[in-house]
Amino acid sequence: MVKEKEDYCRSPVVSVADVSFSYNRLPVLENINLTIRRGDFLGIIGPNGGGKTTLVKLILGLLRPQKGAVHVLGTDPVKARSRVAYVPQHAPEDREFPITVWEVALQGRLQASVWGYRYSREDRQRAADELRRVEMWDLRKRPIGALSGGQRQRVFLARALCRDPEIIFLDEPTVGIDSLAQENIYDLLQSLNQRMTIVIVTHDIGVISQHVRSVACVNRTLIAHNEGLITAEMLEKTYNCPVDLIAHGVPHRLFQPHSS
Amino acid sequence: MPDAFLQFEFLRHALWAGLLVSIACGVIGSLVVVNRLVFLAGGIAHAAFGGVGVAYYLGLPPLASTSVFSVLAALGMGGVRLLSKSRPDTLIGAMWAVGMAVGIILVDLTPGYHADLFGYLFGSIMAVSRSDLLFIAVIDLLILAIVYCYHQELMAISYDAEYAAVCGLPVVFIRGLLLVLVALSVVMLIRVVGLILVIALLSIPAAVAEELTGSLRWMMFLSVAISAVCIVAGLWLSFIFDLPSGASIILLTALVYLLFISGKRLWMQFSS
Repeated sequence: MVKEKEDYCRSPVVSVADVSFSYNRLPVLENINLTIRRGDFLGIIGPNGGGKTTLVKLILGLLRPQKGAVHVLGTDPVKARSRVAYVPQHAPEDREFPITVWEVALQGRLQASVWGYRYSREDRQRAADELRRVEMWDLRKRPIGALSGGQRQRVFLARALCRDPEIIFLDEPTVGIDSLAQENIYDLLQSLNQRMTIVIVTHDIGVISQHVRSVACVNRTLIAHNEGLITAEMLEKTYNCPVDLIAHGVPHRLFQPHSS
Repeated sequence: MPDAFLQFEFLRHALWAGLLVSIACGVIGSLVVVNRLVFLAGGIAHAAFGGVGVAYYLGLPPLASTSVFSVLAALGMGGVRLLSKSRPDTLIGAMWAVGMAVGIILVDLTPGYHADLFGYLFGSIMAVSRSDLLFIAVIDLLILAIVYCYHQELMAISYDAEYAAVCGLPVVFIRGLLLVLVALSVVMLIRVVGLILVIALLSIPAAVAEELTGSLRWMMFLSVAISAVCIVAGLWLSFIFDLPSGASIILLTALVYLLFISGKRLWMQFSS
């Protein structure tokens, strides 16, 4: 019985098999093999332009691999979309756009419908719950453009959570946010991790190392996929140069002591 | 003045046309502005002249021919914007000019004197016929029905198309639908202000409305009202001072925009 539960927990939710992708013949990803297991909190790290976002877009079905195959929740990424959520990296920057926090959060419940979608009472309830969870309910009537970066990121998180996803992908969720707001978001993700698989893309190794269960290093190829250990060697291969494992003075379970 | 409007049928038609196109200006104009489609809408308006040329050359009804041509131009430009990896605006600019050039050549090849050609370029709201009014009303109804049904979808793809795709919305289809509505609005506006000035009515009222509200729905309502006031007032001024109606409407609309922007600036300086 316990064994069964463990098997379920360890079952793969995403499998990327031998995938390659290039933009205008410029290879961005080559022969990537990656398995993400249920309940994981995976950090995908790598330098800018290393293909992290492309990898996530392939898993979401926004891009199609030129070689290899991607499966999400045992099916095609496009078919799995209703069970997956995404917090994009470049949250729309158009500060003028006439849309309120509440309207953005509700969009998480939107789905295709022949005669146009109408939000149900349940949709409103879910959006309200998630806005309260991320502590943005009080600002629900504000235009989204009037919020700070951290506040906006919380709204986008609420929008993603409204879908009751089994997996949630976050692309650089803490860029341009002060460290306190960052910690808040990570604490929130930590508690969410009890019921969903979390995949987070970032170039900020310092922060994620304290929270993730496993790490994948991507720089055109998958350099390493380790459980809970970022080594200096991994980073060196990923970034093509020695990287200091700075841990803000906090002892890290993930970091090995410097070898040099 | 009110007497004149009641007295002359052409003025009554002009008034009706002005009020009816305001609906398209406000609703579609708002979507054009928030989607940054102003340049593309300008392109459609000019490419539509190709449709005028085809109508002249083949002796087809201009409204139908222009509508088909505009819709094709809109979908072509939308496709370019979607597929082109770099500089879609260059290609759209080229299509803009090609449509216009096709129209000029076809008109030139058609024998006879083309007195009403000016109407397509600069508008002829005073010459709006009953069948024109019917066309405008039908397009208005189509716009209202589609925007009423799909307003959540339109808002989602306008705000964050990538997220809309992840939600499983048919993003390309809804974009295409929006472009078709823009094309049909352009055709009806050509009747009122002419293809050269269309762009102003699809952008300025919506831009003023956007300054006043934080919701897309209200932006649409307000910009319908602003368009209606500007078009009717412009019409009245052009009648009194015997000026070209299309240009009068546009200048008045632009003046409202200018006054509004500077007024807001002043207000903000005073209040801070």
